Amino acid sequence: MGVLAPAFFAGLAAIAIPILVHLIHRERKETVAFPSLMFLRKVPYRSVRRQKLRHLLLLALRVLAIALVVFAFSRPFLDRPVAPSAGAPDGREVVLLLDRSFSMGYGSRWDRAIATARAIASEARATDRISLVTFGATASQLTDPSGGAERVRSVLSTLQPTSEPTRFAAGFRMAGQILSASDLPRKEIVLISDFHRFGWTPNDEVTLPPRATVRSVDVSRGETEDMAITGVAVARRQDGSRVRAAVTARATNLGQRARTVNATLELAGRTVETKTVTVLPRATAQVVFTAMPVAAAPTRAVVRLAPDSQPMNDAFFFTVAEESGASAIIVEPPRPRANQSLYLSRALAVADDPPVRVDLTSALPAAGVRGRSLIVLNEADLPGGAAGEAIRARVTEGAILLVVPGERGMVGLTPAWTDALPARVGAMTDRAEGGRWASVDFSSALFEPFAVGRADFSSVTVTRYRQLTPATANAQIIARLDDGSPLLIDRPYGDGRIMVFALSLDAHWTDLPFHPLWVPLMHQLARRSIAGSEARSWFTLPHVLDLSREGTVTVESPSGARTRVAQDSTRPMVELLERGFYEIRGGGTALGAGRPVAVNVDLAESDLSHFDPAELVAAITARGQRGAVASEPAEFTGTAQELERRQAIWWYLLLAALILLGAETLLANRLSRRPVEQPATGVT
Amino acid sequence: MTTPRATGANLLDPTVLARIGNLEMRAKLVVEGFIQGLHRAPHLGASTDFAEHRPYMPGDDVRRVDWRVYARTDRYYVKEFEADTNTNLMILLDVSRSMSYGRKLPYACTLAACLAYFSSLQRDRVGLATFANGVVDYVPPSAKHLQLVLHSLDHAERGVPAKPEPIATRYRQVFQRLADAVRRRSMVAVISDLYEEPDDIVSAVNTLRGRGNDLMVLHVLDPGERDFPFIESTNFVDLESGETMPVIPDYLRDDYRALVSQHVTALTRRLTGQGVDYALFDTSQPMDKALFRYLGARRKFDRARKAG
Repeated sequence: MGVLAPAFFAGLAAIAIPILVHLIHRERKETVAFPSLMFLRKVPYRSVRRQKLRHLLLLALRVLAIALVVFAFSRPFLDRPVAPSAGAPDGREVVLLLDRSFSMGYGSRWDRAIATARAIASEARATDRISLVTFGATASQLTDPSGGAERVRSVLSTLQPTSEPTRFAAGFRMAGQILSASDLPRKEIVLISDFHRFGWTPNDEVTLPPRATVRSVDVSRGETEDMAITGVAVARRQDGSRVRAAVTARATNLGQRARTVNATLELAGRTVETKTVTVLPRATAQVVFTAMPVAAAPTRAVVRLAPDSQPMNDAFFFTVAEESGASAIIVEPPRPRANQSLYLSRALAVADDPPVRVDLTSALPAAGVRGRSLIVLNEADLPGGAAGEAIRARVTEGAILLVVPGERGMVGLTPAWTDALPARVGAMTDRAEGGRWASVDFSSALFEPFAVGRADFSSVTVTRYRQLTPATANAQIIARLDDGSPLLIDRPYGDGRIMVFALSLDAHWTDLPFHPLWVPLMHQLARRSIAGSEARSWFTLPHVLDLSREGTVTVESPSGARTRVAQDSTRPMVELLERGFYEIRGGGTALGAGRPVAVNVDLAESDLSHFDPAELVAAITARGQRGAVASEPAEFTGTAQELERRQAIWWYLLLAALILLGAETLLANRLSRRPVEQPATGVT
Repeated sequence: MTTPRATGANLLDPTVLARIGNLEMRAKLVVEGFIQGLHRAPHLGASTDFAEHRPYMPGDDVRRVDWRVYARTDRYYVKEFEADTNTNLMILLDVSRSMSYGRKLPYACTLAACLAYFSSLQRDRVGLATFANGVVDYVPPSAKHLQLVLHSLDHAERGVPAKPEPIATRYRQVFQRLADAVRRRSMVAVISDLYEEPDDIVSAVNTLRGRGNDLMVLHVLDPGERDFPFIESTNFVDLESGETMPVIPDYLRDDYRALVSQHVTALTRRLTGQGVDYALFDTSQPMDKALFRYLGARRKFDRARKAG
């Protein structure tokens, strides 16, 4: 026997009420006017006390009724499986799908989830099979269906929320596999979650087996108060021989009232500075810490807030190191024009903030893009195969790819490139009379520095250009010719960006290389190419870290778990699933001296937005109907209320309490009858 | 104490009397019903009793000469009658707040009116003093004051004079003051609920006896005060002091009844021992007992006076 709401046992204190009533026996507030209390005062008080607890049967009825009501409200349930009723269909295959994302750690959500899961496990009958699947970004089957409810309950007691975000699809996929493998006639998924809005996207594909039933239990309670550190920015500057870094953290108030909090910056485990900041409701405030010298090697840094209802997002982990500068690779066609990349390479080479390493090549191997922050395909073929994948992967990590079709157009265009490029490239167009740059988008990061003073690009002359058409929804035209034709189209791609330029990078089609804005524009391009690398100061869960260049290393997780990754293994990578600092150590590296890798939770999970469980179930149902596997619509059989209704003991307890109260009324009326009548007068 | 129930006692039933609004009518019904029960003449104690002969003195009314004695003795003797046989009846009626409980005050007023009416029939002088913590109303004894007495009683029955504080009884001070006012030897009938310690009551009553007055103490109690029939636990408020006390009747009833009984017993013993006629009246009982008391007391009073 267990209870769902043990807090209601505090209501047993109400038993004191009938006892006090029987002791004091003040049942009426009216007063009786009496000629004189002379004789009443003479009655010894001791004799009153001695006789106070009378009508013990009445008292017992009242106390028992209150105890039963309290016990009923504590929602008792039976631990043992309920015996199947006669005629009921044979067993069920139940998958207990428990959300372990870090948003479940908010307040008492996790306790409610565990209590509910225990109750559901207790519902299982002898003929049922029940298995436990937990999910965050990924799903894990923690108990086998043959393990039974007892095994599920024992595992539940060991679980805690993870650092992962919510991905319902992962959990449903694994639950679907378990149900598909079952031969039992009834299949049921019980989803226990806080129903975080960002845990489900319309693109998630889930297919459930036929006649699967989905029950949902929402353990959220509309909580809103939370503070989080949602990011940091590190600005470095040279100070003599040293580099100083100024850290700016963003503190976000997700609640409905303004909060004043202390934000602390820790560097290499030591507290450096604490700042107080007031954040308005549903707003973000910046916390600017004093610049501090940083070492060449990455150093662990944390910005912390005081822990609140959701401690997972109260600390932001990142690493700080001296900036190593940008690295550009310019790819030319096999037979380039004279000085085709001269102006570009020279402009980048003279940059000192940051310094840019420039390499020129006509054949780009996959390994050649490693470590590059700026890749320029200057009228070169679009690399296919591994090189193409490597370029796109590098861009995903934060690099900038600048594609210049030029005279040769888009040679080597593959479907992968078609999907990646922000523009479709058309024919060449001559502007013999000389076209002009009409406009640039100063809000874009590339042109943003030129917004001050409204730098004049209209003096740039264009004699020929490639016609460009935006190809993706997120493509953005950030520069146009005077006839409106796009000159530069940009799109985000992963953490990096891909740009397509309609002109040449030499003086063949334009005089831009001779324009005063040329060098600053290229420097800004280089600066932008490494801006994304700051994001690499941390990773967001979940993330697969490529260790193919690290050799054989040992990876130690924030919780202390160690994983050895050999260079010759087929997958030299490690999955980052915990928030905090991972440490990557080579063979001879001392403990604590390895390369730190900061990992933070997905801040989208910090958002307390919630959606109706019925929406999710309906979405899964609809998807099941469309799926390749013919699936009957899953039925939505209820929420927490329905679950509670099944714990029927409380109903009987309330009925018993009602019967007792009825008996109490009869008894009390009977005891009230006296042979001596109350006088008609004297009552005021 | 048991009292013979007179014929026509149905007219003396308090519940019947309570329906009669006019106090005089009520008293008349009680008294005449009482008298019919006694089979006596209505004019008892007429002041025509012969007392003695004395020699004629110049100036005496010749009509008072007893000519039969002159015929036998040849001397002039004058007949002396008990010309002054009328008695003072002073009724002291308690109108404190405690008397407003139940039917005590109407009962006490009717009782006082009966005594007054009965006394008036015998041509006695009758007076009335109503009191609480002081003298509320005072009608000096007189053979012509019956209507005044009835009027005062009617006024008292309609309600205790409204005062901001509860009115408690102060027997000793009140009786001391009334003893000073009643200068002539009288019969004094005290009608009260006697909520004070027996010692204090006896002490107060003794102040009235000091002048040779003959005392009757008529103790009026409501059945609710004797039986304590309350059921619900509640707060009891003292009508006189205003004090409030939580009471669980079930637990107190037996003790309360015993204390009331002890109180009555103590009053009976102490007052009787002092020569005071004490009687307890339950407002549910007829009031002919009171008239018997009065009659008996008057005879005793007369004998004592004659002996004196």
